[in-house]
Amino acid sequence: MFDHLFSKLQLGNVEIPNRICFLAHRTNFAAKGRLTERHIAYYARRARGGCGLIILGELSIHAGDYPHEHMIEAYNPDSVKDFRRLTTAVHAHGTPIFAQLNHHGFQSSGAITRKEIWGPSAESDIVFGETAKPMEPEDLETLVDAFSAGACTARDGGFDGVEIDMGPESLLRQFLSPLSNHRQDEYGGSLENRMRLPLEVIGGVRKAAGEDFTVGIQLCADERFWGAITPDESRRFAERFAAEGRADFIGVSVGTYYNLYLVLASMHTPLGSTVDVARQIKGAVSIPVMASYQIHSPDMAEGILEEGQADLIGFVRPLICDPDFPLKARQGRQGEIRYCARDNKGCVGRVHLSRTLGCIQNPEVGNEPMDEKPSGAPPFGKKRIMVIGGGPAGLEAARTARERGHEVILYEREALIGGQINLIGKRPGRQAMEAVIRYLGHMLERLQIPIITGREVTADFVFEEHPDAVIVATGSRPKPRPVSGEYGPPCVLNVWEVLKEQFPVGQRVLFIDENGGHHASATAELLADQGKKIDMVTSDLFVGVELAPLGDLHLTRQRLLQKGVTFMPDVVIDRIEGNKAVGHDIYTNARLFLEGYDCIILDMGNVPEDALYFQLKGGVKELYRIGDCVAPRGIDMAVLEGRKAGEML
Amino acid sequence: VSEFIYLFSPLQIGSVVVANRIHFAAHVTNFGEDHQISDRHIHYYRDRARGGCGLMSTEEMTVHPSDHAYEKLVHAYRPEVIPRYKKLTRTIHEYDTRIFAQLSHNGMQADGTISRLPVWGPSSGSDPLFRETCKQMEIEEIRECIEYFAKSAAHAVEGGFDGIELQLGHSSLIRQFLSPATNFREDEYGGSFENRLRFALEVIDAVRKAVGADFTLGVRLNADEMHPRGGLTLEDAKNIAVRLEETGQLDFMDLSLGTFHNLYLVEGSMHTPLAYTVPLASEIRSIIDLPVFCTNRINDPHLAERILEDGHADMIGMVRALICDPELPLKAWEGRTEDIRQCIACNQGCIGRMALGYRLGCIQNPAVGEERDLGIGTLEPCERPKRVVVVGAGPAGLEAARVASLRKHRVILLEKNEEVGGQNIIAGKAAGRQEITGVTRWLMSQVRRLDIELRLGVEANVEMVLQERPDAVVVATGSIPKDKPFPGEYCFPEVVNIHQVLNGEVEAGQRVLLVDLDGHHQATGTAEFLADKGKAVHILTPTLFVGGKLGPLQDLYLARQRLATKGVTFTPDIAVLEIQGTSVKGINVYSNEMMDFEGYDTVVLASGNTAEDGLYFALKGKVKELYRIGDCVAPRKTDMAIVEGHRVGRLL
Repeated sequence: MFDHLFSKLQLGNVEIPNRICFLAHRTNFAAKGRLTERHIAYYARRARGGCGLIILGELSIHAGDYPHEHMIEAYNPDSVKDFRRLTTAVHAHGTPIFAQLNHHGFQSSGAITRKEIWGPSAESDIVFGETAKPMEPEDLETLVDAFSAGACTARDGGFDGVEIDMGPESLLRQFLSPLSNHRQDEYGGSLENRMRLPLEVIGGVRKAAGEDFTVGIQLCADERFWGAITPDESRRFAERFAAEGRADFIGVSVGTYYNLYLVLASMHTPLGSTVDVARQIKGAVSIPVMASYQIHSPDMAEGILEEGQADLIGFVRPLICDPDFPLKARQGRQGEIRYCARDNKGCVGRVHLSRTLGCIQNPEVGNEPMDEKPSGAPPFGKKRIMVIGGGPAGLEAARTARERGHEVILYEREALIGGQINLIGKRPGRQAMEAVIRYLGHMLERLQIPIITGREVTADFVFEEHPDAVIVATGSRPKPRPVSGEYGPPCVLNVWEVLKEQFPVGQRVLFIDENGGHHASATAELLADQGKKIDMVTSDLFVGVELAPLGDLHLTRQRLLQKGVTFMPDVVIDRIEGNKAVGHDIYTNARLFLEGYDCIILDMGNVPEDALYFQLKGGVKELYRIGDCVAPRGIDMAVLEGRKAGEML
Repeated sequence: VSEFIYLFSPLQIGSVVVANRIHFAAHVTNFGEDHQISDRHIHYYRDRARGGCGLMSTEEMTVHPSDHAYEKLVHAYRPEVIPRYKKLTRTIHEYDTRIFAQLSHNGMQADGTISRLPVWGPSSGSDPLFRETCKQMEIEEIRECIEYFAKSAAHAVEGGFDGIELQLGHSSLIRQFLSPATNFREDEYGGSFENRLRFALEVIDAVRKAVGADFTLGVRLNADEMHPRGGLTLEDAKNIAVRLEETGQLDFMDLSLGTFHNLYLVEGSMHTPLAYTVPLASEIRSIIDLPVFCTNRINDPHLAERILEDGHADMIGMVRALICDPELPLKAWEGRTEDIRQCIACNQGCIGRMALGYRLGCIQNPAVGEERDLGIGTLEPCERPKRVVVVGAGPAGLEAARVASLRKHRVILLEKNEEVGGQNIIAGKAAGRQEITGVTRWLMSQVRRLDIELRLGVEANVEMVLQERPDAVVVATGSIPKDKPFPGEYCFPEVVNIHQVLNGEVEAGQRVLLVDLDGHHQATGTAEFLADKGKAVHILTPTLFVGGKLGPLQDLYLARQRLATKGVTFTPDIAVLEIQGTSVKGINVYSNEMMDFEGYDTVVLASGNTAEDGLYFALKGKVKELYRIGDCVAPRKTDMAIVEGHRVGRLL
């Protein structure tokens, strides 16, 4: 049913078996400048899952380019044997693999190298904030040589081709863009001059790696910023790269250093928002064009190919979340695909905090087994297991335990499974999170696990049932009295009471945000959408501190401000009496009286629902506690602990 | 005999005698590899032993897998650490220096993003820095943790350490149990003073059993949490100190203060007073007999001597002082105090880098973390002395001249101004930033005693440089504020840059608008300088808050506090689009709403610098060897100026 998606494609001399490309992306798996076993297992797993092409990123082709600690030093001759191990492991599944060659230019700092960073001009990136040295002519030669050497290393390492990065985080884009290139010499100014260096690089790579080696381009075709690269300009770049550079394919991306939230955009940006740019580039060249990002399902991918908007589809997060996405699509098992929720917390969020790549839904990311056996050996004996709580932790535990052959019953207090995810889904723009429960619910159904809803499990009931093992996954609830004073509903509500619509919310709202994430800001947005006037107060330096690593800060603050929400940072609330709050500015210690509100909403953290666990402790044969009832955290930890408990049984 | 009689007197600490009173105290370095002590660690610590400190403690090493607060933490609970311990302790014992291992569990001052495990705390709650709700430890976990402390201690003994320091200080699970601000347990480990103390006593007891009666064991106690809402006070700490001493199991008491609620007290910058924890040490010392160690902002042997002489403490903890100059003890001993490169507590190279996950460094000492290649004794005289002209006597030029001259090159140093130091001198004029000129003071103290020909008030040009017939030229001409960073019709003296303000080239009017694209002290220090003169200052910045770069330096809280109390007001989120006269047009970067800022007498721009690279390009191709260093390559900070100056000095 996905005839286009699963048709072959020729990229230069390489034939790829289908149109699904696992794009270059950051994993932070590298250690001490080397590719690791973790990389190999991770990519081999995606190859096994059936994608048609893999592109390895994270390479540094020049010692001066070291924006973060976990780069793979492709300029180090030792890297060739690491690459050989990777390419061999991926080729074992019949999957071609390319290496992406990049230099980050001024989207970097010298904090690691202790050297200057390079740029076309003396510009600085808004994240790193370090001014670049405008490259001198010798530096340009060095750069072309570094790309050429990188291509030779890739070829020697067994890669089937290279992709030269001119995407949102690249020095070559910085040269292409009038936003960052203010040079007065032959490498700046006119369109012709701005593409001189990129053309020299393509030429150098071609010459070094040989005519038969596949060389593609990842092109930022629309920077989506004032005075920046537009699709009109990038069509002309693409034409020249294809004609003069004899590039074998062009991957299309969007965004620049001012709006990196567009690059691995979260669920708050529309799906398919990059496809039209790919279509425009495809109209300009006859070589294959790849559309990338914000494409999340096989149906959508098939549609894009069928309509001729692109020849190849680039994925990142969907294959992080479910490596078997291609296989399941080809076999018509789309219902079993674990779809990426585009929450960005497990992947982008972790990587930006310098952690290894992860996924909130797929706890195996970064710990993929090297062999093809599913993780976790089969159990010694079949056990009767009670799972109490049908949030993500309980559902994942039930799924894992059942797949390992145990007999599982799941109990849920509410009428619906899903736990707090059902509350997340009520918030504007957060509905995609329901994918977590859709997948797990579907799997439990397939595994025929009985789910008893609307049942509050007591310790006595558990003892009567005599289970072999009990998994407590009873979640958490908002702190009952996070601030001192005399207060309560309907004037003072917690976020759950608001989302469950247990009390009407007045017109003028004071929202106390000690969460800093979507939990608070999306609830505020929900109320603003209802026409209420919201003042958000936080002791943090700004509203939304948890959103920055996710790439959600900019758009969230934009939406809130445009919906009339106001922000009052630096304020701690000390006391609430009725509908009046007293706080103080944490810098000046000045007391602040916050009055005149119809309603005060508290988002000040949760407490674990651990009573059942402690009642059962010592009374059952095997007892596990997972997710928020251990300590209120995120979905990632709920799913991870659910998986671990399931595998331990 | 040294003038520092007390500082260089030995001290008995348990079964160990240390040669002097200087303790290179525990601190995170990010040098760990594979959760072990690395060769980088060993070279780093060795240089401090060579430099003559009597005692050092390793960085905190964790006792349990539930604590993985930082990626590079050493896993003291794994027996695999022992061989590397041995390599370290053997190296240090080649010198007259003793070395202790610090063992810690960070408890709830951590998150599970590395371990993928729940973090442990005495009660459910979260740390202000890590923000993750911890798991209230179950009784089995408390027992396991005690066992792991003991196990880790045994590894340290086997690894050849002379003693162990248990962390009960600013970042510590044991402190979290001690403190009523974090311990709300209702069992025997919470509630009363006795109950809150129980975990600490059980850990000490188990560790003592593991290490034996003769092994030196102490604690780093939090002398005051200084928590605004009910943490441990000095009085509590005194009670704890007495009780811990009474156990008879401890040999010393090291002190710290603050928590992650007030990290600016833990890692005090130049905006905190020198030796600010000494009164706490003094109080504790007055009630116990154990040797008491004090720390924090003691960067000078005279100050250290005075603290000892006055009986406030028995050991002086120095961290940043010895990061900056490992040979401080030796130089003090030899009476060469002028040669000591004093830490200026700028926090940029050490704490600022650590906070961003980079390896420890120092803005003044480029050898930090690179001791193998750049440490003590690695500077070799050149094979063929060259005639070197260095243009520009800011930090980059001074350091290049110093190193080149030490290597016996013939150096001529030209400076355009009548004084040396470049922007370092201007930086010292901002409010509270005077100490930063210590960079220039030390470099000049060295340049003066070397055979360097310094010519002041000389603006170099190509002809002048060529007339010197140099073998090599080093261009270190620095940078200047951007001439016209925004579009519009505006000019001096209504619109000025921060250099013009700090140099006194202009007297700002009463109402000042400061445009801050810097986020660093340049902007906030200038705002404070103006506020101190009674001006009404308003700061505009496109970033989320004023002081965006101050967080990692632990200068954010106090800087914002000083500004706010001095009446400075802030508008964040505003990008300036144009300036007309003194009217500034901005746009809110989130809402895209346009805003005009009017009615100001003076607009001050902290909008970045432009490299002064004219001379470099004019000389390029005209001299045999040409180098460019510091801000004239790309305007950055002092650390890079000195790194590049040092590198060129060695390269010549």
